[in-house]
Amino acid sequence: MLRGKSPARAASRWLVLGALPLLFLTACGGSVEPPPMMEARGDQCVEPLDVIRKDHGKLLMHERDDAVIRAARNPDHSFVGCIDCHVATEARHTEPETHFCASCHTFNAVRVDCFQCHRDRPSESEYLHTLNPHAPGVDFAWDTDHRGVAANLAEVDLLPPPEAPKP
Amino acid sequence: MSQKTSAPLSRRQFITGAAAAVASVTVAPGVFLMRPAEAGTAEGVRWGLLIDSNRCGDCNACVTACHEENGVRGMDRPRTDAQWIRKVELRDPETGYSHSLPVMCQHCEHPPCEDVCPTGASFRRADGIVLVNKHTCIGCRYCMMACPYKARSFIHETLTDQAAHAPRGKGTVESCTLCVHRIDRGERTTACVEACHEQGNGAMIFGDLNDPDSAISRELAEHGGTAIRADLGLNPGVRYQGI
Amino acid sequence: MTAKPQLRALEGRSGGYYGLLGILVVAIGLGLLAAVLKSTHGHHITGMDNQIVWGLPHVFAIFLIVAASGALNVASIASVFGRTIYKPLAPLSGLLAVALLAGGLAILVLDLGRPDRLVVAMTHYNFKSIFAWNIFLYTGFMAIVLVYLWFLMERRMNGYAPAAGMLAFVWRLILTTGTGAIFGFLVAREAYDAAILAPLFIAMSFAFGLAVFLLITLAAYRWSERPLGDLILHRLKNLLGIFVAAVLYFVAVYHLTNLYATRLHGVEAFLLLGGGVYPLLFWVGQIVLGSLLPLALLFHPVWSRSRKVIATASALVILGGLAQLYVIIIGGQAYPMDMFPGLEVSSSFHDGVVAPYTPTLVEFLLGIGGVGLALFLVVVAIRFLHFLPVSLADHKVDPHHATRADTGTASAGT
Repeated sequence: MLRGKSPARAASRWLVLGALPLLFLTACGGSVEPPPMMEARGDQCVEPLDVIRKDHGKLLMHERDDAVIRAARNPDHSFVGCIDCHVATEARHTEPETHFCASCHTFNAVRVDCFQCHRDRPSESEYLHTLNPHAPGVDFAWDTDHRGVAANLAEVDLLPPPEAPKP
Repeated sequence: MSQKTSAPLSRRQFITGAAAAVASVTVAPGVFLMRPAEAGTAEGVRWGLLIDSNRCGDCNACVTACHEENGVRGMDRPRTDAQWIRKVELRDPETGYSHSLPVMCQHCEHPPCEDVCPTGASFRRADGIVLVNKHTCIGCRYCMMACPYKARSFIHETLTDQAAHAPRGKGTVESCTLCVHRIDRGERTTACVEACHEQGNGAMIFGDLNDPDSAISRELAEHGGTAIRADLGLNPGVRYQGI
Repeated sequence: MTAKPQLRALEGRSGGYYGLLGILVVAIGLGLLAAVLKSTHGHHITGMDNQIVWGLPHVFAIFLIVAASGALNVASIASVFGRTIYKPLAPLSGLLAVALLAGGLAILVLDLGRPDRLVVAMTHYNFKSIFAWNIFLYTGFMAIVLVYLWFLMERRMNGYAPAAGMLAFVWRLILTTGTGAIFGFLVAREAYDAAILAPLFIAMSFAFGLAVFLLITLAAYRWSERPLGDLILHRLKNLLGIFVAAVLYFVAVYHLTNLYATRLHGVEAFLLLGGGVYPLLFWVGQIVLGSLLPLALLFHPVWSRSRKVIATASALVILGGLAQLYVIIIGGQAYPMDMFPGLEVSSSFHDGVVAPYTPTLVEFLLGIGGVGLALFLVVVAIRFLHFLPVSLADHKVDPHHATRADTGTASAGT
């Protein structure tokens, strides 16, 4: 019906093809509640709020190469540092409503694969703590029911089989 | 073939257009930003290990300590479970003499794993530690084919509850990091060496091979040390006595 | 040779055509399913482990890649070596090269531990790695062959076809050398670390590529009921025989050289005598079924006239090739690395023992998916574009053939 050459047809073609996108756009715009921002530990974040909100991806992506390849580790921008302050010990990145990073990232559908390798919650061993100067101190009250790494390993028995007896 | 302007696109024109579109999209893959930050490694250092296999015996302390330190857990699947370090039993069939020693990534000066990695994920740091940059590892396992010491493991399943300082993930390759997280914090020992001392065997020394006054260099100078597969010319940072 | 060869797309409306497409789509679907399963659960559901790191999918993938470079042979003979009799087949040859390569690369990419990082692989390069070079060689090959195809099929660009054909020919020699070098550059394992692997792979590419090309040509002409004369078949089957003999030569040199070195006696005994499935695949699969039997079939004066025999010989070459790659890739990994020469070695990490490997269904399906993708691309392309010569009857292929004394090359039945 819209094919053909007459001016009326041309006008209706413009109308339909032009109006349709506008129609779709008006359907958007209703505001959706973002997930609640979770409370963090420590005294303050390592960067001002507007900087960290916009640039945390850039900071992490650019400085990780320095850290891994050149061993130039910036304690302020340590990824483990972020997790230590912001993520609860019982959080899991597979449950977005519990996890600081996953909640916003799932909401915005921005996939990150950090937690395929990185631990998604604070470390269980205090002494392996980050160098972050804003991090909670070593006497911070960690989760009381966390088990030591050694206890976990003892349970799943990683040890290699006993050696064959010497001849 | 002159046609009216409303004729449908000929097959030839479609393919030409599509090819041009694909070609223009494929042009110039990403610009790799080189931002040289000052290196965090100490100048002129080369970290290494010296292992006296005569003192090893039946002990497994280094293996347990390493896996505990780095969160390396077994999944009850011995063929696919990762091992960063293992005790190797050697026996000479001619003489009957047998002994054992721990084998881990040898942190070669000329690592074959670094040569073959297509993305450069497997690399040697300035201070001699050979690492896998898991941000760029694509899991092709070519480094595992290339390693003369079978030092590398591939992660065959989804992992949770990793150690915070030792990220490990499905689909990437890993190996002994010479406890790089400890070294970068300023500690001058690895988990395996620490455990060996605590056990009382004292078979392992960690230190700076480039510093002639370090314990490891003095021991090497006085009593020597050889490398496994020394004929390959890789100049490993891990040396042994008694092999 | 005065008349231009006529190429036309298939009708492609028969039930048989749609049936074939359906089978290939199912194969691709199974491959994708296998890839998704592997991606979700990790590689522990496959038979590959920390000892055998490359398995059945890589056998399929490397076969497809090697065959892809060899499939371009017929076009090269036409454009580079000037044998006009093969000119009608040049577009099909180029199409096969691109399709087989796409199938092989699909398997390789989907088997990666992190296939989602393909963009990383395309933007971060370590140029000391032959893998990094191969990324350029493979994608460059596809681009060059596509341009070459355009030159062949666009009349006003025909003049540039020989130049493009020469570039494609040289490029594919470098590409196949690179594929052989994947193994040849590895010092760690005794079965590898040999310069001869590069020319061996080139010879393999000639043989496998032509075998695949022959099978597809026979099938396409038989099922589309277009005439295919014996003249061109006769030449192609002779070529295949020569290529199979070349592969045999390189295999013989490789093993005889290895046998001369005492330190390699262990791995040679493993691969040729006592390694269980590997000597079986080598002697029965690669040598007898994959080389000697096809040679007999292809050079026999009477048998080789039959199309069934030629098709069988081609299929045997393909099976033998898969067996050969299995022995090279998996057998080479199964033999324990010799870290402590002269000593018996054992450990919790399976040092010092032959590594067992059982391919799983997931790996097989991934390989089938790649094969399905390659064939699907061919089947679709010859339906929509003019790749297939209308007639390869003897008088079309060589108009002067009828004037020569007819020495009984008439079609001797199907």
